[in-house]
Amino acid sequence: MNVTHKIIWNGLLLLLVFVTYKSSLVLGVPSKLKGAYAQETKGDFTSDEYFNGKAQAKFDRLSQQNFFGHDLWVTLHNEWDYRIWNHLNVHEVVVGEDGYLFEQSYIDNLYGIHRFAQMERLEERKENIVFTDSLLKTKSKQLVFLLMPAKSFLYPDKISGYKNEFVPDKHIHDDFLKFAKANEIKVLNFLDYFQNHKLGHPAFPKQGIHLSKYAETMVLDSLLSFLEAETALDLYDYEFTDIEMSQQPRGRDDDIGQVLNLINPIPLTEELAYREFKFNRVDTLNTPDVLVIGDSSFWGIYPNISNYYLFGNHEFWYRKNEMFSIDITTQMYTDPQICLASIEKFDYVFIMINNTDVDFVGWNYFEKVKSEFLKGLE
Amino acid sequence: MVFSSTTFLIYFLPIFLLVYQWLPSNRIKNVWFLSTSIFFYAWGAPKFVFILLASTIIDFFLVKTLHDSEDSGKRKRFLILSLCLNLGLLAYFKYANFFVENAQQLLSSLGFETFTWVKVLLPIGISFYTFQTLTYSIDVYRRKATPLKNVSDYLLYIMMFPQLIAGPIVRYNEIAQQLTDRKILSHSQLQGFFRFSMGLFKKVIIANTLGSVIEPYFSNIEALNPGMAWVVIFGYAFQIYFDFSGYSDMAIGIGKMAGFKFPENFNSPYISSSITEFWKRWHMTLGTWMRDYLYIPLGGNRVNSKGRLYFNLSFVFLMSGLWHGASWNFILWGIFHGLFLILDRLFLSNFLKSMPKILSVWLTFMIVTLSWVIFKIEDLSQAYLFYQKLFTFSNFEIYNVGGGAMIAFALSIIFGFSALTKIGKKCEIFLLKDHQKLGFVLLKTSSSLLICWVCLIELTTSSFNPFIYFRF
Repeated sequence: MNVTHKIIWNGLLLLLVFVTYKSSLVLGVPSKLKGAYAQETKGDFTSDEYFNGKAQAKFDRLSQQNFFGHDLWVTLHNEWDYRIWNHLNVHEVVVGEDGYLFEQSYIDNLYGIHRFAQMERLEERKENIVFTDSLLKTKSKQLVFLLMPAKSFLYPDKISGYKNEFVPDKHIHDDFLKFAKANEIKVLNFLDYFQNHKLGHPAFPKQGIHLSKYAETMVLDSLLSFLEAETALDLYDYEFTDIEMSQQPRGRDDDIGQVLNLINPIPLTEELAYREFKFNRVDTLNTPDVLVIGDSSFWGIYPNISNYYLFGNHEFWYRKNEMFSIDITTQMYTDPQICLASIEKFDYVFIMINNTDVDFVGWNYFEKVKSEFLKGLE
Repeated sequence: MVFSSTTFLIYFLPIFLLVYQWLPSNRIKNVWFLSTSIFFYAWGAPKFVFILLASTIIDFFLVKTLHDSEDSGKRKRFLILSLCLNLGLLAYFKYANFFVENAQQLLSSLGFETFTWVKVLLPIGISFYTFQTLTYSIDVYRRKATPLKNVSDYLLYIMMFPQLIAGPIVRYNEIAQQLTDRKILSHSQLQGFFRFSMGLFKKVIIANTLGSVIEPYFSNIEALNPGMAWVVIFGYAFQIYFDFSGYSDMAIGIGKMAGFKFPENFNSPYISSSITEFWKRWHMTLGTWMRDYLYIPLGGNRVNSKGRLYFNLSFVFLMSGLWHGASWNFILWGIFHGLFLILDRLFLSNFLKSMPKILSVWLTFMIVTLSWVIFKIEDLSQAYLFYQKLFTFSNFEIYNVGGGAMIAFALSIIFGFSALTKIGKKCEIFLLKDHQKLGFVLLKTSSSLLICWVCLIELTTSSFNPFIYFRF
């Protein structure tokens, strides 16, 4: 009997060491899981890192991410959590009714959570916004806010438990709109548009967090129409094909769905609308120079503007400070000087902002413009 | 390094066990065990490992000199030196901040100027380390045990990684012989692996799951309603039990795999029908340590007056509270338990005995659960607020804590109270027994593998993994 026990024990040890061996083989090999998360890389660590515990923490994370069969276990774990508890292991993402996916922060905003803190933050920005707007106006330039909708505001009835929640009459974007109106600052209110116009096709896909490609086309169309109306020029013509219906999402239309890392993905049960379109710039001399400062919502629109040269001089500043343009080939970041120079450089400054994030409007653009301007006066 | 980290489970433990298994003699196995233990401690506390090594070596020679001497005065002096060294380290690293901060507050309130003080960092496991070194000095002084011949064996006794960080507190006389002469049996090793996996399951699946749900509520007590306050404190009662007993199971299991027999630390404490019984079932190695090295030397039960008896009880539990942490809430927690032990002696124990068992168990569980509030919340004003929430009988709305937490609660109740029933007791005996029958061995080994696998998946796919008991 003792020999049998010994064989079992030694077999067990060999099995444990086999897992060690297999895990060590993939240490530092990048994971194939989808989504954004910090992946540890294999590398030397210094004695300083060892004595302050950073090296150990790093190795712990590395060994976690490279456990033998890690990607498979993650998908199995996710599948279990979703099928049994209806819980998704993606930061902030929750499942609503009929397979609609939402980000929790957008839902919180619909319920008015954090509104007072948001109002305080917005209050701090107002003076700088007015200052920048005045500065632009003195140069005959225009500041335009593009107020974009959050999914939770367009599909509240698809949020689980929505009917039992208290929803305030006013939200932070209402405070913002009131402020813009009082100061005669232009706002293109896409939130209002999508809330109050019944579209033939979904404005948000079930498994996406951004506007559908169909709705993005409408936004782009509106932007170009706005410029034509403002300049009183015929700047563009359009080529549209028929609408093609598809259950297979294209582009970012299932951007959340793609990062769920499930074995059996949530079925796609809606028809999304797609149409090929092309905007041509017919007036190559008078199209205005436009700076867009926006969040990821603009990524769906940017390629069309960039590829077809729809604006004159054009730059897109992504959130805090990353700069993109057809002319920028290396990674560039804004600074206060670049911000102030934009006042001279562009005819229009479009600030694209989600209605739940208006307290972060401009991501410090206005503050930088003002501080740099005042610095120049000293 | 913690037992529920992937570094430990995937790399450290398999390599340790494999090499340990194939080394030929206990002597060489001890060298390997000591080296890996130093590595284990240095991984988590690289700055303190040298202090620990130095103080242990000095203590070894102090106790050796004490033992070799026949002069009772000299023996006493060396005992005092050894105690001063070990208690001095504990006092400095664990209590200096507490006393200095309180002294500063006192000085400030009296209008004196305060002084600057650089906070001392707490080395992990120092409370357990100190208690073990004390048993060595005292047991040798009392001639209850002979000292070890080699300093490396002593270092192994103190630094043995399974019990170094969070116990159980292994007394010298319980392990002295095993250090040099132990028989390693495969069926016992397999049972050790099973015990380890049980502990891992308690820690990862039950304690961590409960912790991840209840922890955020402690940082926003104002927003708690009474219903949720009860859910949270029951959750904490189970979390701390499964966290700590899980760790003890893992330590005992690793000890078994290496051929050592460590003392048990928990015996279904939540089925106690009085606080006195609770302390015979909860953290048993601390309880018996306190009894043998503090309570009995103070006179224990054999004192002339009841007043003295109550003083002894209060003092021991005050010290027990202070041992858990250098802060007022732990002192209050110790006093709380000391008070209930005195009440037990006065009338409570008899009163509880007169009740149906289920009721006395429930009442004891409630008393213990209420004590966890002051144990958990360091800020006494917040603890007071938490008690207010518990006893405000207005809103018992309970939020959805998630399916995982519901299962963890259900498992907590099953495993926490199963020993109350005959079948539960039988199951417990079955789980803890060293089986030799092949069928049982295979059943336990395969279920251990499955449990470890599930825990590893849980650990590698979720990041929340703190231990509670490392502060002590």
